[in-house]
Amino acid sequence: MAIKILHLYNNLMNLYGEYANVSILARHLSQQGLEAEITRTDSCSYVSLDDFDFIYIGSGTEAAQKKALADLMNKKDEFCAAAKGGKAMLLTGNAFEMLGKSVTDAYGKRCDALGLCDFETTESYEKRLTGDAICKCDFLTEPFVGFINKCSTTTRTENPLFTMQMGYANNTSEPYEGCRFNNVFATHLIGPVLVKNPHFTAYIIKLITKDIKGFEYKEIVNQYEHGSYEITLRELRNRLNKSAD
Amino acid sequence: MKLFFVILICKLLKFIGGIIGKGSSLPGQIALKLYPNILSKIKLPEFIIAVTGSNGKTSTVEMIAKILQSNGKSVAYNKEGSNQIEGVTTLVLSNCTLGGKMNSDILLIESDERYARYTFKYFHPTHYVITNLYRDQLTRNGHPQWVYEALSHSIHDDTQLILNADDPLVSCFGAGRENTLFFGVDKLKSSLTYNDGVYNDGIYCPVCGGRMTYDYYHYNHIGSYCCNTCGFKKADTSFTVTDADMDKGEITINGKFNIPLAFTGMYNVYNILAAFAACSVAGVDGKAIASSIGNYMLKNGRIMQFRLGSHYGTLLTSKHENSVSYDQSLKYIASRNEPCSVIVIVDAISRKYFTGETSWLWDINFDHLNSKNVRNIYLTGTYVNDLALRFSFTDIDQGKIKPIADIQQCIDYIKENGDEKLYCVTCFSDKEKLLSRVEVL
Repeated sequence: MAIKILHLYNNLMNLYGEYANVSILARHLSQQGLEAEITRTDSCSYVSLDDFDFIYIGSGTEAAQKKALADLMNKKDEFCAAAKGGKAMLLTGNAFEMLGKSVTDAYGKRCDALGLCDFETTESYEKRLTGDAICKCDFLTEPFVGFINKCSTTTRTENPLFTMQMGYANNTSEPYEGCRFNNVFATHLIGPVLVKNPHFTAYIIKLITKDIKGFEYKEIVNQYEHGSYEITLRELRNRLNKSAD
Repeated sequence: MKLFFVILICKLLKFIGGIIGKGSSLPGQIALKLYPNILSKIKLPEFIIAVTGSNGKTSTVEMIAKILQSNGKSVAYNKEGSNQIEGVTTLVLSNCTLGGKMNSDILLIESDERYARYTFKYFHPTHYVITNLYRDQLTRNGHPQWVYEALSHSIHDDTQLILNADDPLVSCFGAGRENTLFFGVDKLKSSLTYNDGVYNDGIYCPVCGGRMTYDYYHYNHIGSYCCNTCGFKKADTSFTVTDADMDKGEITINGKFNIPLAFTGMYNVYNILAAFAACSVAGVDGKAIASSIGNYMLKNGRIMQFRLGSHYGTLLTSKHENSVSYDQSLKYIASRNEPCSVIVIVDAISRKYFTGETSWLWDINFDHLNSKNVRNIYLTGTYVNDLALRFSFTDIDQGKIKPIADIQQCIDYIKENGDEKLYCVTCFSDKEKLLSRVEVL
């Protein structure tokens, strides 16, 4: 049984080692006795989103994101229908911003976005918001660890993914980050989010395998993934406590 | 009168700082507090050469200084590497008279790429060398395009740019300017027809976003490129490595100047070439440059020899959060052909700030170590799990990979086992953790 994964904009939106999210997913699927069939493309023209069990998009430069967004807008209706139908997707870094109504660049140019959610994003060239992050979500007991690296503010996110314990939120007036729409998970966390958060990878695997007849999820602890998570969380918490003193 | 006192205070602080071993940016910082535009009040030398870029700044500056000094010119430069406005202010004020006149022939500045715009607000370099723009310290820098934007604000019309033609993004600084000089490396025996990095930052044109094709790559996105859409391509070069024999360890510049190398890594070749270009512009002839830089061993401590038990070792200081720097070290190890083991330490990601960010490990092509001559790969430090996980996604025989979290235990284990050559790849932030436990030669 093959699980079909689409890695969209694998070159264009691959600024912080994001490709590893797909690699780790494939490894976890294989540990579950499943095969991963991965399609990688920098344009959605040649693929039908409906053919896939899981779609991933990572982060890019501000210019690359606009290019990717322009491409994805050609499949806006197909994308939104898939999301509404419960398709599992993960959008990390500034790919998250594509789900909203618009992205306005630092020079005031507004680009229409997918409009799946009501939020809007505005970029700035003044300051980059970068920092380590600890994030709580309502569907897993363990927090997420990671890093935010963005130059934008996102307002009016109605269904945020995280409450931030450490790190930058969508905007400065609330502690919420990212957004969730059905099984679409979106966050400004950059890089190999699934590598760093094995509990979330397990959650995603369960989600995309739930309809497979006769399949039973096996709990598997990967020592290095677990160790990386525990130590990063420890280091970040130490840091958080130190700055609170 | 105020100028006189501020210069005096800066000189005194620098002197005291030198005795107590304090950093070189504080005197400048205080001078700037007292007199914010002091840099615009100093009479600077005729030649002001600035060097910036992601990698190679310190080494290039050291070589430029060496060449100029060997050829009878007096040079003031920031050898301690304090490369933001405070450090540059210390450099300038501690090398000028109390009347505010710099007394060296040439002011040579290593400049931080993101903060150069603040430094060069008060005076403009006459010549500005830009070495490369890579994915470097992205936890602070965002991404190379972001750095490009910041750096572009430090470039003024009265400055002559000296650019790396082989880096597409760096070449863009030359757009619409007339007197820009380019340096680059021709196709060599060692050139590649494919990008050997994990990612490809040369795939899309920095000008129009179209797809680019490369005639050849030297490493990562450095090479000879052309955009299929807008025609943007590698510029013609005035300073060119026309030939290189890496086995013999010699390069040829502009077809006639042969320079023997103390270290054969490709980034050393680019640093020498950049230094050659800057010194030519400053009036030193090619032959004199070649004879003063041949076999030059950098003194900045990035490559060090050590002994551990029966092992001889070489430390290749690389930069955490900089995959190109790692890739270069790994390729160098694989190219040596001698049986060896490798130690990778990732303990403190930066010496200047805290982060637990390890995405950059996934941008390093550790498969370069999938080479017959590499026997064991020891992984150690706080982020040993992240390293081991990254290595588990390489094609390297997993039996060679030995993660030992505790650095002392790891070093002890290596000491007790084997006598093969060692290479240690780590950052400034972690190199003392090795050097304090081995015999430095």
